Amino acid sequence: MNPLAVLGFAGSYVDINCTPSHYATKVGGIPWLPGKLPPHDFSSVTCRICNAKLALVVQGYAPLTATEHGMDVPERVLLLYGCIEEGCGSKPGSWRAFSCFMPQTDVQAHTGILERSPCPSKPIVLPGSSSHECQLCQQAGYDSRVNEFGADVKESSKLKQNQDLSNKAAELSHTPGEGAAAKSSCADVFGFDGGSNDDDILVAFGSEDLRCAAACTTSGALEGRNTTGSTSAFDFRDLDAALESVAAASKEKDATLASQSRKHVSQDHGSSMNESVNPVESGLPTWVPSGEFLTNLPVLPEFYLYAEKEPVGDADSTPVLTHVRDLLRRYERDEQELGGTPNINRYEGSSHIDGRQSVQDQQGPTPRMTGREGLEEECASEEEGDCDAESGVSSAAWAGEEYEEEKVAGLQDSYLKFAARLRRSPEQCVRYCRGGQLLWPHVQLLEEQPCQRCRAASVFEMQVMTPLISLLIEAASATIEQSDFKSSIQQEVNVSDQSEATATTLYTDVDGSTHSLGREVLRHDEVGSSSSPCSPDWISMYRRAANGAANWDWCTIAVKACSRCCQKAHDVRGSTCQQQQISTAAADIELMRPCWVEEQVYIADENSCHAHKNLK
Amino acid sequence: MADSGRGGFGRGFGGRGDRGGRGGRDGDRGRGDRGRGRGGPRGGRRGEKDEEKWVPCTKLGRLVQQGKIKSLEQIYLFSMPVKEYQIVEHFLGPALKDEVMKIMPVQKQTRAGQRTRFKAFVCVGDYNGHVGLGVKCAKEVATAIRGAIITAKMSLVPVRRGYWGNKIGKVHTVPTKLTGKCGSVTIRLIPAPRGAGIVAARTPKKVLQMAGIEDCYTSSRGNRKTMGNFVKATFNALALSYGFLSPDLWIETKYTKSPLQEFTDFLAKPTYGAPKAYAEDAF
Repeated sequence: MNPLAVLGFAGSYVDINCTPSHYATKVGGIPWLPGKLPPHDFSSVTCRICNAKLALVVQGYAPLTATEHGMDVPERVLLLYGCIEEGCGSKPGSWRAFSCFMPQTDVQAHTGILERSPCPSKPIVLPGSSSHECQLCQQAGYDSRVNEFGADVKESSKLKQNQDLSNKAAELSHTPGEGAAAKSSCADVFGFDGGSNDDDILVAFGSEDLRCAAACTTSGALEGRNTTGSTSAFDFRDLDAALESVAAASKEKDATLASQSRKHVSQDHGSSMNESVNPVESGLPTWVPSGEFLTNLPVLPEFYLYAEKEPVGDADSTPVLTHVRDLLRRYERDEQELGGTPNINRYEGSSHIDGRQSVQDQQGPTPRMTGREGLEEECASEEEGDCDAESGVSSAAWAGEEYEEEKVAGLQDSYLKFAARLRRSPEQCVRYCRGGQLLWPHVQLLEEQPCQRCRAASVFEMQVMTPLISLLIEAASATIEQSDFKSSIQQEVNVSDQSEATATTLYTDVDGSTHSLGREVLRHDEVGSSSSPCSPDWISMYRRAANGAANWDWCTIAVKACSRCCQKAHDVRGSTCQQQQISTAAADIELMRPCWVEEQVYIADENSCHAHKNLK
Repeated sequence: MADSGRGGFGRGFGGRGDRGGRGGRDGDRGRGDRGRGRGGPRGGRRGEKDEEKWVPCTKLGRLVQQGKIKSLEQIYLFSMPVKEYQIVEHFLGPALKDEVMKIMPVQKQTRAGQRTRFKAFVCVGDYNGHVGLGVKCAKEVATAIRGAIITAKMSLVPVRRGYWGNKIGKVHTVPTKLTGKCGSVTIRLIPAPRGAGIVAARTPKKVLQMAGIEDCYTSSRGNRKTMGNFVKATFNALALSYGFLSPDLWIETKYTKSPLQEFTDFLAKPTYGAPKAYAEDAF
C-alpha cells in the first residue's frame, strides 16, 4: 500500500481554556473552522436518514500541496460528522463529510494580515495591502533567509508596523459576527499572552504546519505584546523563549513526518522550502460556533490527535515473543524425543526470533532435500515400530501440505487481512493518505464515483477506524466520573465553611499521579446552571452522545474527496457579489466565510465481514 | 508571561503531556469544562511494548472489555463470530494453553527458485471444554506461530461432553458418536467408558486432550498421512458436539436478547449481578 499512510493516535484532552484553532486535528467537540463567520450550509448538517443533528466526530487540518492546486492553495479543514441516534449510526446516509476551506488571499486582503513567505527571493506583495505591509513583508522576506522568525529585523520599524497591524486586526475583529468569533482575532488566536498553543497548531496532517506554526507564534508574540500596549523595546528574552519552545516542538514534530504524503506528491520540488507556499503566517482566524448553533447539537468527548507514520512490520510485545520462543523450544524438544530427526537444526537456524531473520531463498534446494529425506526416513521408521493399532500412521508423517490461507470460521478472509493490518498499531484512530490506498475489509474496493459537482475523480483521503470508538467511550466515562466527583466535592464544600474555600482536595489518578481538585472546583460556582459542567442536563447530553457513539458497529469509514478540490460555493459567492451589487462591506463579510463542500463517505459494516454459512 | 500557561493545564499522558490545551485567559469557549480525565486517550507510548492495553476494535470487544458479557457461552449462544482474540483471552485467561502441533515448510515454485514458507499448526485449549485450532503460513517461523495462535483463539469452539453410561461423577467423554471430515480423512469419535483413555493417534489425541475429553475411542479413514487434514477433521468433529440435538436439549429454551442489542448503554457501570439465563446444559 503506497504511499505510507499517516496514522492518527489519541493525544491529550482538549482543555477548556485552550484557544481553538482550525489547524488542530481533534476528535469530538465542536468544529473550529477557518474564517470569521460560519459557512453558509453549516446549520444544515443533519442526518439524511433521521434528520437529527450530527455530531462532529473528527476534524482534521488537511492542507493541499501547491503542485496540485497552484499558488492559491486554500486552507482546508476536513470534517466528518456522524449520527448518534439509536439505530442510525451504521447506515450510509448517517455519516457526512465536509471540507471547509478558505482561500488565503481573501482573508489577507481584507484583514490586512501579512503573508510571510519563507522563500527568500520573492516577497509576496498582496493586493490591497497598505504600504506598511509591503515594507514589512519585503523586509520579512529578505530577512527570513537569515532567520525564519525574523529575529534580525530591526526593532523600531517592526514595532511600529506591528502596532498598525494589530490595530487593524483589532478593528476588524469587531465586525458583526458571532461573539465568540469576534474574540478570535489574529492576535488572540496566536497570542502569546494567551498561552502558547504552538503545540496545538502542530497537530495536523499537513506538513508545513511546523513552519507555519513557528511563524505564527512569533508574529503572534510580537502582535500579542503590542496589543497589551507595551511600546517598550523589543525584548529578546521572550523571543528566545519562543524560539526555544518552537525548536523543541519542531524536534518533536519531526517524528510526525506528516509531510510524507505531500512530499510524495510533489517530489519534483527540490527543497521543502520551495514547496511551502502554504505556510502562511497569515493568522487565519478561527471561528467557533456558539449561540444558536449549539442548541441540540450533540457533542462528543474531545481530544487531540497526533500523527505518526504507519509502522512497517508487526509490533509484537516482548512477552508474546518470549512465549512464542518457548513454544518453539518445546515443540523441537518433542520432535527430538519422537524420532531424533535431523530437521530440528533447520528450524533452530531459521527461527531467529529476536533478529527476525527470514529464511533466505538463495539457500537453494539442499536444506530442503535434507528435510524431506528426513521426513521420509522418519515415516519409514515409525511405521515399522508402530504401536497404535487403531490409528495406523504416526504423527510424524505430515505430508502433502501446501500453502494455505488463514481461515477462521465465520469470517471473511479479507477481514482477517484487514485485522492483521490494524494489529500493526492497534490504537490507530484515523488513517490519512490523500491519494493513497485505503484499507478496506472487503475484497471489492469502493466503486469509483466521481465528484458530484465537477465530475473529476475523487481520491481517498481519510479513514476512521474502530479504536476511535473505544477511546471515545473511555474519554466520556472518565469525564463523567470526574464531573460526578467534582459535583460531589462541590456539595461538600458548600456545606462546610465557606471561608475555608481553598481547601484542596487531592485525588489519585489512575496512574498514580495526584491532582489537586479544590481550586478548580470552586471556580465553577454556578452549580445547577446549564453552562456548568456539573449540571445534570449537560451530563445527560454528553452521556447520550457518547452512548450513541458507543453503539456504532461499523468496521471502518472512508472519506473520499474531490481530487481537484472544487469550490462551487466559492463561485456562488462571487456571482452573488456581481449580480446583486452588494456593498463592499457586505462582500467583505461574505469573504470571511469559508467554503463548505460535501465529500463522499463510505461505510463498511461489521456484519458484512461475516461469512454466514459456517456459523452454527 | 510566555511560560505561564505551559505547566498548569497541559495535563497530558505519557510523554506528550505538554501538548494538550494551553492555558488561556480568555474565558470559556464552548460547552464548559470537559474535565481532564483520569487516564483516557493516551499520549504517544509507541516505545513501550511490554504491556499493551487492549483497545477493542469491534462492538463485541467493547462489550467484553466493559464486563457486560459474563462468559463465552453467551457469545456462543448467539453464534457471534469472535473477531478479536483478546475476547477469548479475557474470559479464559491463564487457563488457556497453547501448543504447536507441527511446523513444516511449504514451497512455492517461482522463477527465481523455490520460495519457502513455514506453516504452523497450533492448538489451544483449556482442558475443560474449549478448543481451537489455527493454521498459518508465513515466511518466518515466529510469525507463523504467532499468527496461528491468534487464529486458533478466534476459532475457539465449545465442546460438549457427556457420559458413557451412568451419569455419575463428572462428564468425561463425547456425548454421542461424532464424525468429522476434512479432505479425504474422516474421524469418528465414539464414547468410551471411564478409564479407557483416548485411543487415537498422537496428534488428534493432543487435540482431544486439550478439549477436556478424558476417554474416547476413535476410528479413522482416508489418507491419514495428510496430518493437517486429520487434525482438522478431529476439530470439526468436536465442533459438531454442540450441534447435535439430543433429548436432554428438548426442553424449551428461553430466548434472550443478543448482547449486541441488549447492552446499549455503554456508560452505565457494569452490574455484577447474576448472569442472564441461557440454556443450561450438562457442563
